[in-house]
Amino acid sequence: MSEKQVMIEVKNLCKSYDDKQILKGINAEFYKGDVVAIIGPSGCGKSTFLRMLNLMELPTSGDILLDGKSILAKDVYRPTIRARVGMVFQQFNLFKNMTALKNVMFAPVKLGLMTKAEGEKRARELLQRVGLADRTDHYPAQLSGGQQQRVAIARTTAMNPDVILFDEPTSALDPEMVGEVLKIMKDLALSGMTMLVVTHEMGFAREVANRVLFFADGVIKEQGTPEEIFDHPKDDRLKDFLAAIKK
Amino acid sequence: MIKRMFSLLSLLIFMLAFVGCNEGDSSANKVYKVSDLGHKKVGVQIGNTADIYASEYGGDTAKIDVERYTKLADAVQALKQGKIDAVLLDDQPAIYFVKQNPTLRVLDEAFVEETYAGVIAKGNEGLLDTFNLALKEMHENGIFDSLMNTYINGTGSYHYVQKVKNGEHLVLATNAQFPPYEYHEGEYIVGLEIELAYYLADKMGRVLEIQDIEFDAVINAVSSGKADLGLAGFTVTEERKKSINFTDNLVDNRVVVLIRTGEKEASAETFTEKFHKNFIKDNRWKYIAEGLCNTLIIAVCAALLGIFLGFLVAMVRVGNEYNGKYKITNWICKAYLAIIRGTPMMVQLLIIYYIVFSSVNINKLLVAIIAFGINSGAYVSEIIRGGIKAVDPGQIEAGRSLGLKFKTVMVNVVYPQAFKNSLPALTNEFISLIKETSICGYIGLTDLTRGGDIIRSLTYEAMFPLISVAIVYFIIVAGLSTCVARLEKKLKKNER
Ligand SMILES: Nc1ncnc2c1ncn2[C@@H]1O[C@H](COP(=O)(O)OP(=O)(O)OP(=O)(O)O)[C@@H](O)[C@H]1O
Ligand SMILES: [Mg+2]
Repeated sequence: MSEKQVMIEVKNLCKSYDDKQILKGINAEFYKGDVVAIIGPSGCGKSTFLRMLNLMELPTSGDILLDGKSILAKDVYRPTIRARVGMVFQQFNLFKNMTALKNVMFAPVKLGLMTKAEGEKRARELLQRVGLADRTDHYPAQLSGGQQQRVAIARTTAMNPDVILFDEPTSALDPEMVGEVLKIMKDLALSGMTMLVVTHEMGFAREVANRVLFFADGVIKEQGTPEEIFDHPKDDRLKDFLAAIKK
Repeated sequence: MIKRMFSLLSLLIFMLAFVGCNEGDSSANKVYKVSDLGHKKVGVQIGNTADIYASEYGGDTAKIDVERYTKLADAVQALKQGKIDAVLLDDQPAIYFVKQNPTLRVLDEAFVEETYAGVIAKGNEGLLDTFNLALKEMHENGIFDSLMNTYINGTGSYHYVQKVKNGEHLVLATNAQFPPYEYHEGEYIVGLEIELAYYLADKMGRVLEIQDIEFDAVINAVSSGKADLGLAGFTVTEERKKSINFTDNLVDNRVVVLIRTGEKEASAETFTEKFHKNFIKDNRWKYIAEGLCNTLIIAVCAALLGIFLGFLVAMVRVGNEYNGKYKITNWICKAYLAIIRGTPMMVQLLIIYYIVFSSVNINKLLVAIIAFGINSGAYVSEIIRGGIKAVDPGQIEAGRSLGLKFKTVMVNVVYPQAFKNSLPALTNEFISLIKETSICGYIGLTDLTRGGDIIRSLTYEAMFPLISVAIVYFIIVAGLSTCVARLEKKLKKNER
């Protein structure tokens, strides 16, 4: 594993809201090409953790290094970091006043990464890759939840981010649509994309992730390969959690 | 939609025809001498001295029940319809009204005798002296008598015409609904006091500019400097002397009692005759056309200004809510909203005209646009803020997570949706704005409503001008609603 290149390094990250301490010192390293599943009980701070990685939320203390450089330094322009660290949301959050195509091409064109023509070409490619070539001119309200989430994934991919953060991407979907979204995510993982996925889909975590982190009590309680976590859990909290999920 | 509009419209027109034929049902006269006035309903014009005298008349035992009207013509109309029993007014206008209405007459016994003079702001003694000098001159050279013969005695046809054509203005505030002293004739404002003012203006080498505003606003206009001189049949009273200077006496006047003769109107005018009298004769429809034009200009420009201001304020307030930015600006915006929404539109209009712009000579249309725009901005901003808050904030998150700036996300994602969300409420705001502009008469602007009022003061006929003004408002509003309904439908199509 030593030849792997560290992409994100998290050092003693803490976060409090008012007096309540949510995260109490997270330490982790994420490598290029990693697909990491993050699991843990509700309210333990998984979303908060992801949101700090792309600076939607600022840590109370600790540091985050991206390619060896702190993203919390004063001279860092935050939108640039966010452009490199993509995010896919539970509620899709597509721009409702734009077609699928426009949703995908808007940010890269607006930020000057591509010309309008290039942006459109790339957006069509990406929509085709997520199986929505025939839905380019549809507005979000005209798409199913699964289709919307696939557009959202294409939108994030269009920025060519270094890493994509997924926050429970299938939790808001009807069961029959979960599969189509997971398949797209699996394809993305196979293409070598670095991914951090907060999920309750243990099957996906087991099959696609190369590492699983278990969050509880504001720290990473246990981490390891999917087999270590799911088949040979050591921590009692993790055992309880897995038992509760199986029911 | 359009069909429904037409059927409503024809209903209105039908009503107009029906009520038009039903008019002239006046009841018998109850006043035969001045002392009969106690306990009777008596009409006066607000601010006219008759108002003061009537309120004081009769002690505690025979008080007059005073009904106050902004326009004498309205009081006369009420008298004809039997709503009141008499009107107290100056004798010259009374003669004019009797000539127009054979079912009215004047009591021989005068209510009060008094004197008219012009008003000039305190501190402007130079103009006061010039006026008095000019008046003296007119008495000496016979021009004054000739004018009296023309306007009061009806035995002459002399008119004084302004000779100076260019140069600085001399601003005269008046209320041109008071024949024969000042009134509309065709497109012009004429009358004894008007021609007096022409003479004065010539003497000063200035061009007379006539501002036709509500009677109770004239003294204010003069004392605030909006006008140099006020001539509107003002009676010299001690009360008024406290706030304004009077010129030397112009004419003696008697306040008289106008009553019904008790006879029915000899031959009721037909619908066509009335139509002709109200709209065709002397091109009177032009008052409505000009008023409509002004109403539309004010409403459209004020709406644009309102939307601009509203957006600005909404952006500041939303920015403050999301980011905690613009603390002081946000505070100012909140004060603006509280003040505008906490005071009546009419008061705001008067404050902007008489106080904010008191010392500047500014186009009244512009004043109205500014006043209504500022007012509308407050309501628009709250509507748009509501529209913005209704946009799911996840989209802002998503936009920012892509590396877009907050402002970019707002402009390209949030505001377009907010605008669509707000469209129905914005339409309502614009509709009430159009209707609210009907108070423009208070600063002397001929808007649609005042256009109708001018016709009313010329024809002593309430029905036709009022109903036609109502119909025009109705058509504008209904047309606007239809357009917006279509636009909304089109915008919604994207989202099914
Ligand atoms: N803006 C905020 N202000 C105050 N408290 C917050 C805020 N955001 C999150 N929290 C609190 O922080 C804790 C962690 O929230 P977070 O959303 O990160 O949990 P999670 O692990 O993602 O849970 P879930 O599985 O339900 O999504 C919760 O107790 C939540 O109430
Ligand atoms: Mg969460």
